[in-house]
Amino acid sequence: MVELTEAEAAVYDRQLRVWGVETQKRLNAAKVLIIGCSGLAAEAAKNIVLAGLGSLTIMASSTCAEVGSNNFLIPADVESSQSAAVACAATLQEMNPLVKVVGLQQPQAALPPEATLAAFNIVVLVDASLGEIQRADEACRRCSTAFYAASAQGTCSFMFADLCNHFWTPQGNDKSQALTQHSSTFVSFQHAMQHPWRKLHPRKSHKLFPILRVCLELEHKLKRRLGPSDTAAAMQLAGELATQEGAGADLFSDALLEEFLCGSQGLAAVNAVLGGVLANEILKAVSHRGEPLNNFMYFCLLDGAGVVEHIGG
Amino acid sequence: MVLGVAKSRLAVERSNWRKDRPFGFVAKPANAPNGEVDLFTWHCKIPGPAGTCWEGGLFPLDMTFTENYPTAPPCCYFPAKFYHPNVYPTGLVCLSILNAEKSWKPGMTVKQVLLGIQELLKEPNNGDPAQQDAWEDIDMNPREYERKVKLQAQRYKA
Amino acid sequence: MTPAVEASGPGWPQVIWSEALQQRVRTAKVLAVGAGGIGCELLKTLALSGFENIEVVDMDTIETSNLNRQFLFRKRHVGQSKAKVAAEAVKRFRPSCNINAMQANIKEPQYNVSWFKGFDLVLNGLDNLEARRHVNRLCLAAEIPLVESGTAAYLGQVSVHIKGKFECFECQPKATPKTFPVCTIRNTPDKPIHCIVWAKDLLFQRLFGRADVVTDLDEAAEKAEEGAEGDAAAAAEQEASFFVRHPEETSEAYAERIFHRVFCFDIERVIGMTDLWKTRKPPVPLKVEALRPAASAAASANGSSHTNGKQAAAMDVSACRSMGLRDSHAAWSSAQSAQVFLKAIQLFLDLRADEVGAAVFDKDDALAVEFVAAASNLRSTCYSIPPLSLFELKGMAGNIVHAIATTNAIVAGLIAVEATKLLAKMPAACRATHLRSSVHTGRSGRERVVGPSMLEPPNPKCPVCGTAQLTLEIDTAKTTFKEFLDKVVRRKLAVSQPTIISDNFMYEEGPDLDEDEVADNAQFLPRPLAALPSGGIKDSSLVKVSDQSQELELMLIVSHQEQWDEEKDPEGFRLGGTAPKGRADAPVAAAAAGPSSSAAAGDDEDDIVEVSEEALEQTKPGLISKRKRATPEEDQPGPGKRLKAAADDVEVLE
Repeated sequence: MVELTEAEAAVYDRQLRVWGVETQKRLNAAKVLIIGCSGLAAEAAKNIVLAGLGSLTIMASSTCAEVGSNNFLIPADVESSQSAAVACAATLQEMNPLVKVVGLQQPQAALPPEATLAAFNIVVLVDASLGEIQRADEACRRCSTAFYAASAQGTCSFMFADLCNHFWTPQGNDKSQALTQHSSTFVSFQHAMQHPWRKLHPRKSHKLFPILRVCLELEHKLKRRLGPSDTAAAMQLAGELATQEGAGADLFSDALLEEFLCGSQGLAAVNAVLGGVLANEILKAVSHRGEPLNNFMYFCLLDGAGVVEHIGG
Repeated sequence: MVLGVAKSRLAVERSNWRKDRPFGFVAKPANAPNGEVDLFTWHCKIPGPAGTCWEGGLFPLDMTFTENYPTAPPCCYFPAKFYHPNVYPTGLVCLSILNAEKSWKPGMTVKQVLLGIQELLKEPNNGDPAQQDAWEDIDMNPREYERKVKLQAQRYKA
Repeated sequence: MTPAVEASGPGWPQVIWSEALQQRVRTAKVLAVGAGGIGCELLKTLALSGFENIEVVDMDTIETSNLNRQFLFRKRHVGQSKAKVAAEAVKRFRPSCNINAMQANIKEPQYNVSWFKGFDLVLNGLDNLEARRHVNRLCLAAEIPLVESGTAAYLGQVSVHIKGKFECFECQPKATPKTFPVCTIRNTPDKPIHCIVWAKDLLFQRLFGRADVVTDLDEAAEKAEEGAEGDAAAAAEQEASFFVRHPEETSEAYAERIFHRVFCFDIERVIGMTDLWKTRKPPVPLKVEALRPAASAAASANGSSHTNGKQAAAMDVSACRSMGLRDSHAAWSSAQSAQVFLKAIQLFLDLRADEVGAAVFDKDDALAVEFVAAASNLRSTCYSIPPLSLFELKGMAGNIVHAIATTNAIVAGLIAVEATKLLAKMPAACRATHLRSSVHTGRSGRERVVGPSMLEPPNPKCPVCGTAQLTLEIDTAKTTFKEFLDKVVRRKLAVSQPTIISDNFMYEEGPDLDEDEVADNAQFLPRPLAALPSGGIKDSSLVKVSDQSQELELMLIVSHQEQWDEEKDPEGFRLGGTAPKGRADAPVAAAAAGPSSSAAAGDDEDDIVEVSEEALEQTKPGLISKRKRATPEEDQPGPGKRLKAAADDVEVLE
């Protein structure tokens, strides 16, 4: 692999002291696609670009006007009809001239063809509907591309990881001798969503998980994304599913469901936290250094905790 | 400025010293000509232990503290070139109770430190050689050592 | 006072959606201390969260190594003020956010208690303990909530401090930077860091720093002692000037002479101190001749360049570059370390001669770093400690922080969350939050990577916030110190042997003081308060008052007041708040005091000496109620014995 240039060594000095030259070289060689350009996408993109991820492509169908003012990568005085993805990419490119950032305007919010997805090491789908997440994950699995989904709605947020079969070595001193290879196996989103509720722990399992299942099914029924007006229908469906699954109603939190449906985009603070954790995972995955998060992470302001949970393995 | 951890403790040390000081010792925060007081630098005096060749001397010692006190111990300095096997040419005293990695405890008082140094005067420590002269003399020429100590005690007569 | 948003309304986090809270966020005045790693992320998140009035203070300028995480800055900004550039950058995506940027040190005197009182919240994004302590104390005095934070690599934490409700930043002891005993540095190093400290603080200082500073490297500086005989005196002379370059000596010869002295002669001398090596392996001296053939071979292999004549600017001079040693991540061989050592000394003497005798180590000074690295590695070799790469040595010598963008982003998000809870007047919802460094779901199948925990109540024994605070309004220009002592301290506060401390001014009284001390203290009595040493006692001064004869201690927050109505305040001052009564016998002065005190004889059941009702109007409601003074120490349940494990406590040290 190519050695680091003097410019890279100077800018990356502080992070080289965290993960070492080897890992940095692997970051430099990686290619990531982010689909979406909400505030959350901006956070994740900013983090991986600063880290020196060699090639980032951002794809979205929104214009700057549609994205609104929650994306700090888009200047306030930008032409409102301009492509948000292109505007974000321009700022990101300035932020780190040592990497390559490209912004692509999608004609409509549809998943790119598999051939496109296959060209990347990782595909990240941000703030999409649950149905879209499931479809995207299936497509990535088919072309063996690692997949992350992340969504933030108001005070609630979650991320999902599917790296199929992933090899990694532990994080630590770059010079350490004990570089034993480990492997982790991931399940698909669909499989995770079908995880039986009986197996969930009423107190310990995170309450956002069953909410995701409920919302996925309700979306499918209504053939659209959900909003605050769907709260009652969601609660009813939750009750039905609980019975069907033979699980107790205490698995469910009405308060959390309301919070989840209440916001259409993540609050800035929530985006910052989730975007940080998501970026850490992306960087670990492309460098094959460090145990990957397997497979859900939730961060909600209701309890202020960021919880990693394993579903379906 | 509100007092912090170190300064508060130093104020307490000064207060406790005033209530209960060992006879013959001096310990007070440094006074500047403009009237300011530096609680982080104390000017002390240690009497030479009676019945030893140190007797009769009243030896000046500066004790310096940092903001990390009492987690970090003070540094204690006799005058530069002070003659004692465990004192560096700069006057810095090498003593286990003044060493954060050895016997220093945050609860140790100024009184305990000064008494400990007085003890060190009469009983140097074999494991911490700090200067060539006194170190060699005490091993190879004890009479010369004693002569020099007495001379020094004369110089710093009470 | 506006009632709490949640009086009978939504809880957390639903309150976030309320118009009332959003309005409060918009109008809140927030102080952000620091515009670096955490600061940039925080300013961005605050702006996106709807905050519109932010003051940011940071004294630093932008450096290249900041650019991997301080994303508001670009390469063209290197050298400019962090605070100012950050403010401008945020304006570009949120024009409605007003950020007032100050390039200044938060410890400067103009940032006093009154200034802090102008804010609703203080949010810290600092990287050193000293500044954190300073801000903590000012927030306590000003009674403004403080959100603290810290990050290092993947670890991070956020905590909330409200006076009287939660621990202050100093209630629990903080990890302080490690210092090493001189004996270890001088004689018995066993870790690379010991060698680095030796190379930086002793050798570099001795060769290039100020000559009049005696370091512990000097064996017997000057033996001017009376009685020293001829030989000894001559030897002493030689000793003193050993490290000084001889008039006709070439820089190369000088470098070799130093090499021999510190890595051979001194090592042999230390080997002779046999007591030290009873349980340790003694060091091994290095001979420069043995390393030289390899050294010059290495030089010709890499193509050495002559150093005749001026090269580029002093800071660009580099021994490694002139030797062709480019890989800063590879550990050097002894021969290479030797070569760098010799070369670095030569370059310093030849090209930076004017700095010799006044140089100060700077981690951004390439030549200084190379010298320290080489010296450290050579010393390590003597002591059988594995040598390190230039990259690693620079990090340790320069105390360089390990830092990435993500941790700062997460922590800044958490700070913004706590800030919102504070503005919603929901302190019960506030939390201390820790970031874990790794992710394994373990046997349970789940784990917290962002872990909130309850905030602890204040430590009653905390030397910083455990002290009672009163406010004193007085004419600091006219009132003499004696009047202050008699009227306020003795009469009003019932102190019999006062000790007064204000910044670097200290006054003591008591029968134990000797004549000189009494006279020294007495000189201040006729002076007006504002004319006392160390800037005097004036507006916003914090004065500690304690009683030598009893366990009594309190803090006065002074404000200067010139207009006094003789009828309302015949004494010409006003004391606000409740003072604790001392434990030992002391006259209850309140009963004998003038009409302004309401603590009449009937109050003897209370432990509290109350002050006049009029005074209390000015103070916060929380201080009015009568309460029992904190019980004696033995009965105090101490601060919960849940000392955080060192691993959880993140301090980004200097």
